[in-house]
Amino acid sequence: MSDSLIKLEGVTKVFLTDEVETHALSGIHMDIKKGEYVSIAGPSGCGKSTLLSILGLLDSPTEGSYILNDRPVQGLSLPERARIRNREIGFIFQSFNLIGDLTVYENVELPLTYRGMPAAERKAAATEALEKVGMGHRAKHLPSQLSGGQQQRVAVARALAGKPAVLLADEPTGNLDSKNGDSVMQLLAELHKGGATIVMVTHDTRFARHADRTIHIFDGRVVQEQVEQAH
Amino acid sequence: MISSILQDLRIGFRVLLKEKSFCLLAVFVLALGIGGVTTMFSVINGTMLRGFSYPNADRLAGVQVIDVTQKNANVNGFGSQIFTLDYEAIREQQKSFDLLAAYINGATVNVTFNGVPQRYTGAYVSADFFRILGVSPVLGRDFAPDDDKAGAAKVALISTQLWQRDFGSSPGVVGKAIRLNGKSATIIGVMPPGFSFPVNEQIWIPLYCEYPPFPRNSPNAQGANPAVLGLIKRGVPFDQATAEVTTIAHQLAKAFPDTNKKFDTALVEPLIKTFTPPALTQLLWTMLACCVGILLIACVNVMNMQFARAALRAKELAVRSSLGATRFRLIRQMLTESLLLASVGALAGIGVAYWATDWLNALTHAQANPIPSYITFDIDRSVLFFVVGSAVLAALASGLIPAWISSRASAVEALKESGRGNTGRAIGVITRGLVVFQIFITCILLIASLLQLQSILRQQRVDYGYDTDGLLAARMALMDGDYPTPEARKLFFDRLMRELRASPDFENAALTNRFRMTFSGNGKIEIEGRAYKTDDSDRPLANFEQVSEGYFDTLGAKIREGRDFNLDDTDMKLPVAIVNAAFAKKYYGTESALGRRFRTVGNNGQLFGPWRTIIGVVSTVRMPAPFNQPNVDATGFYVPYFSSTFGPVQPGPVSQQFATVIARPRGAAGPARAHAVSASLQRTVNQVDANLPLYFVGTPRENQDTFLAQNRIVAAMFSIFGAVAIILSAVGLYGVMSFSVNQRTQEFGIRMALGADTNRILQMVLRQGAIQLAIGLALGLGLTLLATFAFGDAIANFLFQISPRDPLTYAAVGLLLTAVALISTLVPARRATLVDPMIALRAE
Repeated sequence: MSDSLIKLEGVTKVFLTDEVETHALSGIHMDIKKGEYVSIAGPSGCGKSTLLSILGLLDSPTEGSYILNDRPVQGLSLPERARIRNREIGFIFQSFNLIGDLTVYENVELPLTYRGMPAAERKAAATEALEKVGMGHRAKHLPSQLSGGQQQRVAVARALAGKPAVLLADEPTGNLDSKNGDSVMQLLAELHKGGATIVMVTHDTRFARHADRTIHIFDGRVVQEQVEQAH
Repeated sequence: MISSILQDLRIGFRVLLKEKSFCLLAVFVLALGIGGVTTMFSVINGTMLRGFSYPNADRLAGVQVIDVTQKNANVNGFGSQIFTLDYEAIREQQKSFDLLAAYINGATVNVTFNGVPQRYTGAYVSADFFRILGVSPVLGRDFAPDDDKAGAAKVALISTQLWQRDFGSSPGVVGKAIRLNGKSATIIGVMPPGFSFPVNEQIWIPLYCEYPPFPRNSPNAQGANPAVLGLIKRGVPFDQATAEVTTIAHQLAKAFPDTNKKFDTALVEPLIKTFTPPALTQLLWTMLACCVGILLIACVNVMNMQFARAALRAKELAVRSSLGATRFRLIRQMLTESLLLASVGALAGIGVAYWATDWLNALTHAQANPIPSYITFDIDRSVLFFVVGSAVLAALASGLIPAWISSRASAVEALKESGRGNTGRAIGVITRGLVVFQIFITCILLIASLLQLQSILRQQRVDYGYDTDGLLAARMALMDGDYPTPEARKLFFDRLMRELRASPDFENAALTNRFRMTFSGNGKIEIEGRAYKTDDSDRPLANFEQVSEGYFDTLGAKIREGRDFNLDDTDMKLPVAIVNAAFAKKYYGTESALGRRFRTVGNNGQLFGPWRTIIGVVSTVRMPAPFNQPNVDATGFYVPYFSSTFGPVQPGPVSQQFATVIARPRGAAGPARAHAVSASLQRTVNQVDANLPLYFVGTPRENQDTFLAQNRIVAAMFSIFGAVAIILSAVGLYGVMSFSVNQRTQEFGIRMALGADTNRILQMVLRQGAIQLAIGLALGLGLTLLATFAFGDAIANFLFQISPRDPLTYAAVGLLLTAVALISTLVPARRATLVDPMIALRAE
C-alpha cells in the first residue's frame, strides 16, 4: 500500500454546451499523500471547483485516471460513487450548505445515516464531531439560529463525523468575515495536526499559506506547485 | 433500515409542517380526489361488488332463460322469459341447485285491516324463497310447501318496518287476520329488521296461492313470468349450471315453439350480477372513471407543486448527494413526503367520502322511487383497502416523477453559489405537459357532465302534449279476490267512471293502462296492404295504450279526425283504434287514416292481433317514457280499454287488473288544485269499493318526475365531477404559470432592461398558457369525438335527446376552458409585467 491518497493522471474535463467545447481542466497530474494539507489556488474560473468536484466524485473526468486510496474511481457506478463519497470524503462548502429543516445534530448525523450506521454509534460519532468543533452545546439548534462561523463549524463537524480519508473544502471562508474565517482556518489546521488529509480550494493567498503545499491552477492547468516553508 | 425509514418519516413530517400552504393545498386537492374516488367506489361496492349480507349470499344465483338476439342493455342484457310452467320444468329436471324459487317482486298487495285499505309493495314468492337466502322470520314461521298451492289458505309474512309502523310492534300480530287482495288472510310471521328483499318489499305472499301456474295456451300465460333465484350446490360452477339449464331450455323451446322458440339459452350467474343491469354497471364504471380522472388531475396538481418544491430544494438534494445519499435514498425521502401527504389527503378524503356516502344514502333511499334496500353505500373494509391503494397510487403518481427528475440533477451545478440544479428545462417541459394533460382530462369530464346535464334537463322539459300539472292520476289494482272475472272488473270501472264524471270535483275522468302516466307499451305492427317478411324483423315499432272513452278529453288532446271511443266499441263487434297524428302522417302521409287498418304482431311474427280499423286521429301526445329507447318514435295508437292489444280477439272484455285513473279537476288548473281533490278521488273510489286503496296519487308530472329522480342524482354527480375538474385544472394552470413566472423573473428583468414593454411580457406569458390550452383542448375535444364514433351506442345509452357529438356542448366546453385558462394565466402574467428590472437583475 502506498502513502498516496489521491492520484490524478492526465485528468481532463471538457464541457459541451451548444456545440461549444470548454476545457475546464487539461491534463492535470496530482499526487496528494495521506495526512497532507493541500490548497488549490487560482483566479476565478480557472477550474479549481471543477477539480474539487472531480476529487469529490461529484463529477467525472472526461479523460485521465483518478486513484483514491489505491483504487481507480473514474469508472465507478453512481451508487458506488455515492458510497465512497459517504465513507471516504468529507465536504466543506463555501456556503455551508447545512439543511435548514434539520437540527445541527441531525445535519451532522445525516451522512452516518446514509451509511446505515446504528443509532447509538451515530450518536456517539456526531456528538464527538460536534464537540471537536466546539458546537456540542448547539446540537439542538437549527442552522438559521447560528452565525455564519458557527454554521461553518457545523459543516466541518458534518464532514468529520464519518472519519473520512480526506476533507475537501471549497472556499470554506468565502462567506465569512475575517474573524470567523481565521477561526475556521484555525480549526482546519488543528484537524490537520490531528492527522487529517485536507484539500482546500481558495483564492485567498493568506489562507492558502495554511497548507503544506499550494497548487496553482490557471486555465485548467497546473502552473505551479509551491511548498509552504512554515506556518 | 427501519430506523432510517422512521427518520425519513420524521424529517418528512417536519418539512411538510414547515410548508403549511403547500401542505394544505396539496391535502385539499388530494382529499377531493381520493374522497371522490372513494365515494364512487363505495357506490360500486354497495351496488354490485359487496353482494348480499344473507347467510347463503355466496351461493345465490339468478336464473334466466334468454333470447340472445334480443339485446336490451337498459334492462338486464337480454330479453328473458320463464313462464311458471317453464320454472316448474327446470326445477324438476335440474341437479345444479339445492333449491330454486320463483318470485314476482315490486308487486301491489291490497291489504285492509281495521277497516283501512292500504297498498303495500310486496313479493309473491315460492315456498323455498327465504330458505334459499338463509333468512328466517324473527316472529312466527316461514312459508311451508302447502302454503304455496292454488287454493291454499292465504298467509303472509310482513317486514319489521311494517310490523312497527302499522301493527304497533304487537307480538300478537302472528295469527292476525287481514283482508289481502280481497280475501281473508293470516299473518304468519315477521321478517328480521332491515329485511326487504328483493328490492323494497314490505310483505311476502306465497306465489301459487295468488298466481297459480297458467296453462301454456292461456291468454294470461305471458303475464305469469316470474323471476327465478336459486341456491347453487357447493362446488358447482355457474357455467355448469348454465349449461344444464340451457339443455332444459332447449327442450322447452322445441316442445313449445309458439312461446319459447327464441328463449333457448340459459344464463345462471351470481344473483348480484342479475340484479345489476349492464347499463347501470356501465354507468357506475363510467362515473368511477370520471372520479379517477379527477384524482389524476389532483395528482397532477400535487405533482406540479412537488416540481416547484424540487426546484427550490435542488441545493438541499445536492448536499445530501454530496454527503453520500444514493439516488434511491433521495427518491425514498421525497416519496416518503409524498406518501405522508397522500395519507393525510386520504384521511381527509375518507371524511369527504363519509359525508358524501351519507348524502347519497339519504338521497337515494328517501326518494319516491328508492334504490333497492340491500344497496347501501358504506366505508367498509374493502373500501378502506381501496383508499389505501388510492393513497399509495396518488403518492406514487404525484411524487415519483418529481423525485426521479430531481434526483437526476447535477449536484455540482446545484452546489454552485447561485445554482438551481440543471433540471429546470426538463421540469418546465414536464409541468407544461402536465397542464396539457389536466386540460385534456377536464375537457372529457366537462363534455360528459354537460351532456348528462342537458339530458336530464331535456327529460324534465319533455313536452308531453298535455297539461301534466293540471290532472290527477292514481293507480289501482283489482285483485282476484274481489274481482275474479274480467266482467266484474269492467262493472267496477264502468261504475267508477260514472261516479267520477258525476262528481262536482271533476270535469272529466278516464282510464288508461299507462303506468303512472309515464310508461306506455310499444310493440310491432303491420299496415294493411304492405308486404312484410315472414319473421317480424322489418315491422315497425309503435307505442300503444289501452284507454277508456273520454281519455282524450280528460288529457286535453284534440281529436283531429273521426271520433273518440264509445262504450259500444268492442273487439267482438269491430276491432277499432285511434292513432296519433304522428302515426297517421308516417303511414298515410297526406291521405286520411280513417277507415285504414293495421294489426299488432307479437311472438316473433307468429301472434297476430285482429286488423284494427282506424276510427280517429288524435293530436300527438308523448307516449314513450322520458328515457332513451332506440327505434321507438312518436307514432302511437290507442285501443279501447277492454280490448286486447296483442293476440286474437277475446270473446269478452280483457281482464284489466291494474289501471291508472286520471281525472281533470273542476276549477283552477294546477298541481295545488289536483292535490286538493285527491281525497275526493279516493272517496269516490271507496264509494264503489270500500276496500280498494289508491296509490301513486299525484299529477302526471309528479309521477314522471319520480322516475327521473335517480337520473337527477346522476346528473348532479356529473356536475360535481365537472365543477371539481375545472377548479382543479384552474388551480393547476395558475400554479404552473405562477411558478414559471417566478422562475423567469430574471429573464423578464433582462427583457425589460432591453426595452420590452409590459404588453410584450404579458403576451409572452399568455402565449405560453394559450399553447398549453390549445394542445389540451385539441386532444380533449378530438379524442372525445373519436371515442363517440367508437363507442357511440354505449354512450348514447346514457343520454336523452342529445347526441354525444352535440356541437354546442363541445363549443361550450372549449369556451369555458378558454375563459378559465385566461383567468388562471392572467394573474401570473400581470405579475410578470410588474417585475422591476433592477430588482430582478440583482436577484441572482
